[in-house]
Amino acid sequence: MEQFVFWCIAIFIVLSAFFAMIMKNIFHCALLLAAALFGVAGIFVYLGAEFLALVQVLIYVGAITILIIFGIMLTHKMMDSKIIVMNKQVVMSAVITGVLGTLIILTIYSTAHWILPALKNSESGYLTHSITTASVTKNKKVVTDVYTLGPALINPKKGFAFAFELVSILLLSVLIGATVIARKDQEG
Amino acid sequence: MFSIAWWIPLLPILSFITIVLFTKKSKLISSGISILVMLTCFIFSIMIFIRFLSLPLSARPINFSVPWMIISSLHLNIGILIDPLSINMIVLVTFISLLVQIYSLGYMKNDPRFSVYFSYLSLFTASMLGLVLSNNYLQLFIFWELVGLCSYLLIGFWYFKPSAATACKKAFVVNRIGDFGFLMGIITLGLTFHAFDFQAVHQKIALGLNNGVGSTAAITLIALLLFCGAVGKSAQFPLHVWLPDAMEGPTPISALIHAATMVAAGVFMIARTYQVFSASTVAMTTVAYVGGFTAIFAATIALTQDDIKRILAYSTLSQLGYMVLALGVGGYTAGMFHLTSHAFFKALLFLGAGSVIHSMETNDIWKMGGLLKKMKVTGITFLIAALSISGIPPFSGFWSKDEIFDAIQSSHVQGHQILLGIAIFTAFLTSLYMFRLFFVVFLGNGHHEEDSHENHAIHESPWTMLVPMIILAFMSIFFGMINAPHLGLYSKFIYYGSHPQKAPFSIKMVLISSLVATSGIILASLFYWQKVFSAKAVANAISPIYTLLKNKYYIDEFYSFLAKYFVFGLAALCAWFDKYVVDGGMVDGSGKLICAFGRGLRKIETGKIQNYALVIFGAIAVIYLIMSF
Amino acid sequence: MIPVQDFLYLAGLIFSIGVFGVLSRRNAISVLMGIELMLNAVNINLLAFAKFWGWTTLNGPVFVVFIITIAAGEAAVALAIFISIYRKFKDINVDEIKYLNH
Repeated sequence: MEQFVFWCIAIFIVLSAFFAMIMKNIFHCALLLAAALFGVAGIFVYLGAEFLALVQVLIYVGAITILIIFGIMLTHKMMDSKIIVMNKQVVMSAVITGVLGTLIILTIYSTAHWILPALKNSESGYLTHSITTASVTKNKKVVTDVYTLGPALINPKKGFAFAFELVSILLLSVLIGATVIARKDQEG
Repeated sequence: MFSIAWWIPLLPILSFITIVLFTKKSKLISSGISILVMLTCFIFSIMIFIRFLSLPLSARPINFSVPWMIISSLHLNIGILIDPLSINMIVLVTFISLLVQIYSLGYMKNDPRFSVYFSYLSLFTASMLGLVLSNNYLQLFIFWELVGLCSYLLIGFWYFKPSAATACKKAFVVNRIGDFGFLMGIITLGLTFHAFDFQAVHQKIALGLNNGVGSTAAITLIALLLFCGAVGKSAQFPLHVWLPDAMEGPTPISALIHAATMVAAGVFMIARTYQVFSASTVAMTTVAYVGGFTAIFAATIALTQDDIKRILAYSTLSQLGYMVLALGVGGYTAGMFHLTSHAFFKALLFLGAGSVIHSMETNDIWKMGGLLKKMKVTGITFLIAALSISGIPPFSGFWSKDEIFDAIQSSHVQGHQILLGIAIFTAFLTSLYMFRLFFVVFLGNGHHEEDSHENHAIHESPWTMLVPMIILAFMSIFFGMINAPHLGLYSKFIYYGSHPQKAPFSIKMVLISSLVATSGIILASLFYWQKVFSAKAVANAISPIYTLLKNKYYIDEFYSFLAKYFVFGLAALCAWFDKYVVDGGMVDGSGKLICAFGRGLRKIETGKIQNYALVIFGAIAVIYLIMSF
Repeated sequence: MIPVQDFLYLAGLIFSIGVFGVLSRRNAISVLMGIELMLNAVNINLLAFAKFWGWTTLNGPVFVVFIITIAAGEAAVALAIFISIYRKFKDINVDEIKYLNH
């Protein structure tokens, strides 16, 4: 059952993503992208990261997709269906992407032989026996909730406090920068 | 005390700089500085001379050396070598230069570039002084080139005259040919002996000869290449062509060039590097024959020329030939003695000619005549100089020429009898052309008498011009006597080897040379004074020879021919090669190749970001493929 | 229990689709969408491996947080640039905007 649902979500994500990349109407593309990202949030739940799934839905589905739709509406004649959406190198890029994707999947397949034994040997299916020191592993059900992520982010000794602050500065500059760039020029 | 020798070349250089930079505006200050500096240098030279005489032989020569560049094992020095030879030269050069500068005060009085002229004179003299005081070959070469440069500047001083501009170029280019040989000689010498200092090199040559180590072939090569430089600078055949043309410069410059500063450099160089020359019999013989040939060759040309300065120029060639001949036959003392005495009377001849030209404003001897009455001092001093150069006893030219004859007679050079014959015949020709000049200019009746306007212009020159001439006349009379037999002061001072050696004095030789000189004068007087014979008739009788002489053996034409068909042809070939093979094939070709590559490569520079991304991902895919197998 | 390589297969597919979009779409906004897909594929990978190692450290989830944040910022700036470009060229097709081309 678990497997089945996972694969349903996976197929859903892949299909929406694929169509999001080939559809002619860019508005539809944006909606399909939102669907795909929503699916990804579901995968996050499967991975045991409920908080991140929530963040994914909020930011990706809620914010970025809406931003993209805004962008589309500001820059496009949506109903124009005669637009050629693909550039001239589409065949070449399809070939390269195909080769690349095949190679990735083949690589994962060929490395599975050292993942699978580990799966069988461990209690939970993963390498939990090697985890002894980390306190976060004690409660396996809620490992990535806010209570554990927060300290991990801003703990001055072990966390990413500096990177966190950098990112906040980045967000601030993005806020200002985007405003400045998108603003109309003074002379019109 | 001897360190004041450093100031002798330095002071004129400083005066050159001062005049060029600061006092160019004022004629008085410029010439004053220049003359005072030269006077100081002359006094310094005399002081050094007197002090040097009192030195014991073991303390000679004095060598100041300062390291200049050290390139691994090669030590290049700059320095001053004080020995009898250089003392002779510094006294002579400063003396002549001083007199010429005083003379120029009058001669160049109205020239707008008066100050520049004096600055050039200072630089010229400084170069020559640096040259004669050098203690190594490289320094000698540096000053050698500076002398060449100054002669270029001064010959072309009236650069607005096309003939002067051409003449100075010619002097420079012809000198360059000789200098190339000279430089090659110095390089060969450096490679052979790994030293440039005169004393070090000469010591090595002496050692090498004693041990049988030194390669005679190498020394011969070096000597011949060095001689190339002397041939250029001292205007020996076949590089003599620049000297007659150098007459385009102001006459005092000619006096300076001919007497002390320029052409003497070549002879001086042979004397300075005499150890090299005397180590090679072949080189010595070559030097002797080139000198002898130049002497008679130039004397015959001088017989037919019409330009007063050109006659003097060819006579200089001829006298330089004597000096080189003397050095070639081993007459070291004789050569230098003739150089010194020649400096006095040749300077006097040119100053006299300058005085004549100054008042006549022409160079053509046939337009002059009977000037002795109007220009007494000039005429008499000119006569003294002419007697001196002709070798009439007891004038100084007689003594020095006699030394040369004695040296030739007692030499071991193959065929020295022939050389002696040439020398004596040249002495005859010398007195013939000198008195032809004297009679025509000072006694004959030229065509100017009819023109009253020109007649009016003839006047004696100002005292600034006459005083140097009188001093030089005095020297021309008495200088030679210092080396009279049983006196021999000069021979005791300047000699080659360990002790003075004087060729045996022979009464026979004195008689022959006096007789020959006198007969030349008499013949000249019969033709040009008393008009017993007609020069024109003789010229017509031997018309092919006359034409040949008149046109200076067509050497210039021959060089022009060479230049036109050989040099320009070669140049055209090179130009063609450069244009079509180097430029067209290699330069443009490689450029075109790169352009073609560029045009090809431009196609992938699309400027489209997705193109680049495609290439990046394609490359990743390819690398991935390669890595996974 | 779902084996970890299943997540990796999924992430690989999504990544490839994103690359395809980036390489072949003319519209700049579509390119941006492709980039978002690629980033999401990476996120899945990070979390999958974090879980695979049994949450030994929280570096994976923390990086996911950063990536999401930066992706949001990137989208904001990119769209601002698109709007600005659109004003100038009346077009945001990547292959027709030729500022880079000589």
